Amino acid sequence: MSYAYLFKYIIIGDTGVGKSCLLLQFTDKRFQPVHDLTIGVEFGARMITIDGKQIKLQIWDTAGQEAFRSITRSYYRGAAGALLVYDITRRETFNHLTTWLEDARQHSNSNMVIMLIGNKSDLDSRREVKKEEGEAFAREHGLVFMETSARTAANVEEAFINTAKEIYEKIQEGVFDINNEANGIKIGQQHSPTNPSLPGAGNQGGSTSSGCC
Amino acid sequence: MSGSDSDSFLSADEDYSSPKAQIKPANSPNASLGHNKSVKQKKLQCHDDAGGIVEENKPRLSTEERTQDNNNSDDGWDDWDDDDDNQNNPISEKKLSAEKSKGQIENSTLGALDKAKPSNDNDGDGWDDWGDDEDDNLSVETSHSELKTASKTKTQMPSLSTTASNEPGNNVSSSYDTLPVLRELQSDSRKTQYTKDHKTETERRENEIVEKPESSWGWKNWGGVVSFLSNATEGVSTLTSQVSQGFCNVLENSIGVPDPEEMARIKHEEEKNQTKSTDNSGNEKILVKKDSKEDLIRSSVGNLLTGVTQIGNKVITGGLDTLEGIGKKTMTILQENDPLLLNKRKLLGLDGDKPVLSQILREAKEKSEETENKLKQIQKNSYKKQLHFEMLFDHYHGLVHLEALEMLSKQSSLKLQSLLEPLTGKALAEMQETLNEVKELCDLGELDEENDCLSGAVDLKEKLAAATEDLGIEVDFAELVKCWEGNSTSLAKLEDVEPQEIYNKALRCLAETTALIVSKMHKIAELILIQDHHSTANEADSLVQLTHIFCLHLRSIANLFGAKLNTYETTEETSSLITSIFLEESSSSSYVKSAFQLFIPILQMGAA
Repeated sequence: MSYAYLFKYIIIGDTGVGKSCLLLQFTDKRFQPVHDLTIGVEFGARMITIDGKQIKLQIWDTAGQEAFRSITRSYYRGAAGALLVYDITRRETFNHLTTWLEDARQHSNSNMVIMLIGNKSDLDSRREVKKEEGEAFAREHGLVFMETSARTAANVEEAFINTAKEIYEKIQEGVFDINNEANGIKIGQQHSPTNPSLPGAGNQGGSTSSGCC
Repeated sequence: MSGSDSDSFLSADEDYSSPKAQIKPANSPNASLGHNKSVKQKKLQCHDDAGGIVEENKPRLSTEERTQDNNNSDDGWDDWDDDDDNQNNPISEKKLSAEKSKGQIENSTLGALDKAKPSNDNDGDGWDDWGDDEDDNLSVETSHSELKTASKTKTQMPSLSTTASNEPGNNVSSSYDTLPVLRELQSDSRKTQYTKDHKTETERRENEIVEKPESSWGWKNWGGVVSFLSNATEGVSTLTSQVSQGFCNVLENSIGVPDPEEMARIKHEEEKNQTKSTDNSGNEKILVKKDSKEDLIRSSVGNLLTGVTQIGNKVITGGLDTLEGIGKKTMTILQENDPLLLNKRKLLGLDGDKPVLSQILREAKEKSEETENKLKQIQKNSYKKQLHFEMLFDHYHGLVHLEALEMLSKQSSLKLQSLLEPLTGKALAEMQETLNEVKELCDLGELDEENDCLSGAVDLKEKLAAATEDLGIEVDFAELVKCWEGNSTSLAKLEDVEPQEIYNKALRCLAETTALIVSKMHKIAELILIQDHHSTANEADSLVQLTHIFCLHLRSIANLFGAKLNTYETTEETSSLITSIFLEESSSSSYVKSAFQLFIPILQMGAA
């Protein structure tokens, strides 16, 4: 239950791109083909290990519906990482990325790590957005890119954990002020305050997840 | 100021001054009437100068004319007169040229020189005259400059010229040397205006610059600092004897040590002039011109000295004042919050008892650390229980829902503030009234209706449905009901278990229920916020009812587990556990109530 850090994530993107499914896959390791529409925001949490440190990811799964936009915007604040999700089988969800990105950048802290995720990679036959397009968009806007499948769980763990690694690196570099909770990072009780300033010995590639608490 | 200088000056003067000499004859006969003519002539001459070659021929002729004129009008000091004229000529020429270059050069000469002027009239000996002439010229120029530099230049000018024309006009024979200069002055003043109106041509300027150096010789010879100073003093003493009161006044205005500031300004202007002339003439010429200016400055060294002394005094006293000010300020800062500088002294180690003090401090620190450690351990023990509930509450996402609800509440408050900001007067009062009404609607009142308990899951479901009937939002409380059902049935099945286990179960149930309640309230808040139409009264009423039911529900849970524990033998352990359960129940209720408080701005947003 105890953790060294707690990172706040938000998942954003058009409705129906599979945000809640990604969260469910990550936290519960299961896939639910039919998911209720998210109202406002739902939460998920999971412990991961990076550099030998227990890190709790607290994930805010926002509603993609336009009606909730004004509400979800107020949740952006204090997020350390964001997963910006689009559906590779629906071009319009890709086209809306700019709006989502602007929203996120405007309402969150500037250091927030944003991961671009093209979901539903298992549905390659219905693909409308090429992987290269996603990569190009990510490059253009300084995002990390990944294609995932909530159904097959492909790259789902990696998407969440890589984001966490990047945040962790930023903490080591001193970019994030961990004492400011507006940055979306909390220090756990077990953590002694002298540790965060020590540079990590590099991220361990195979960070093991401890499963949902 | 050697004789050779004067010789060279004179000889050189003949050539260079001649253009000016040409003017003089016209002036001298009828001083008062002729000055207009002279102005015109000068103007003409200016144009002639531009012509250049014509001028070359004129000089000698004009000089002759001049001498004749002088002889006629004067008292026999012909030679002197000639010399005077000669001297005057270059000077007047200088003046002219100075005028041409917009009279800025005269500015360099200082007011004290004016004193010299009256003395001329009395002088019997030529030597004095020489000096006087010098002084005259200086004085005229000075008065010129004084007048010019003074803000009232234009108004004073005419008065000077009139007095000059009147007074000397009467004494033509005796004060021959003053006269031309004054006339010169008059014409110059007009000239100045004239030249001011018309921009000087470059060629004309060049001529002036060539002429200037020659006049500067004269300055060197006669404008010696000593002589001028002595003459100046003399002049002051004899001022009233020859010159009328009006003239005197005018002069007095220009007498006296100039302001150091003014001097600095004059110097600055002079420099400006030099740079200006650079644009129009060759480099060598400028160098020569510079020399002449240096001479001018030299002649005013006396004034400069006083000025410098004054400045020096000012600087010294000013510096001392500043130092004193800094010192005082430092002391005030040092003594801030430390009136007798005791702390600072300690800090600097000036007090003898320093080691003792540090020892005392160390001991005190150790003591406080000890007590702190003790306190920490006590707190840890008591915190463990509380942490347990909090952890559970967090595990069920209760905390994060509460956090999210807080964010919505904060956002709404900010929006309300921005709505209120532009309002004034009546509109503001109305708005505030509305907001207060909403707040009053959200009064929870007395929640502690003892013994009133929910009879079961069905009761809970019905009551929740009734409460949300008017809310206008469909809220699914299935999870809450399910949680209640599950917990109550599992509790009923429990037999022969440790009281501690029942307590743990109670805690878990309370934490889960509270988390669910908070998440439901969060959802309701979100749905209220995205609604287009609001009936705030209904919303508030529903929420008050809901909060009552939630608290009742929590109490029912506590009662249920408490009742279970009561079936056990009454020991210290069980009774403390029962107390703990009700303690947790009340803290759960407080979570719910605080969550309800967060609704107020959200409901107010709907009403506003």
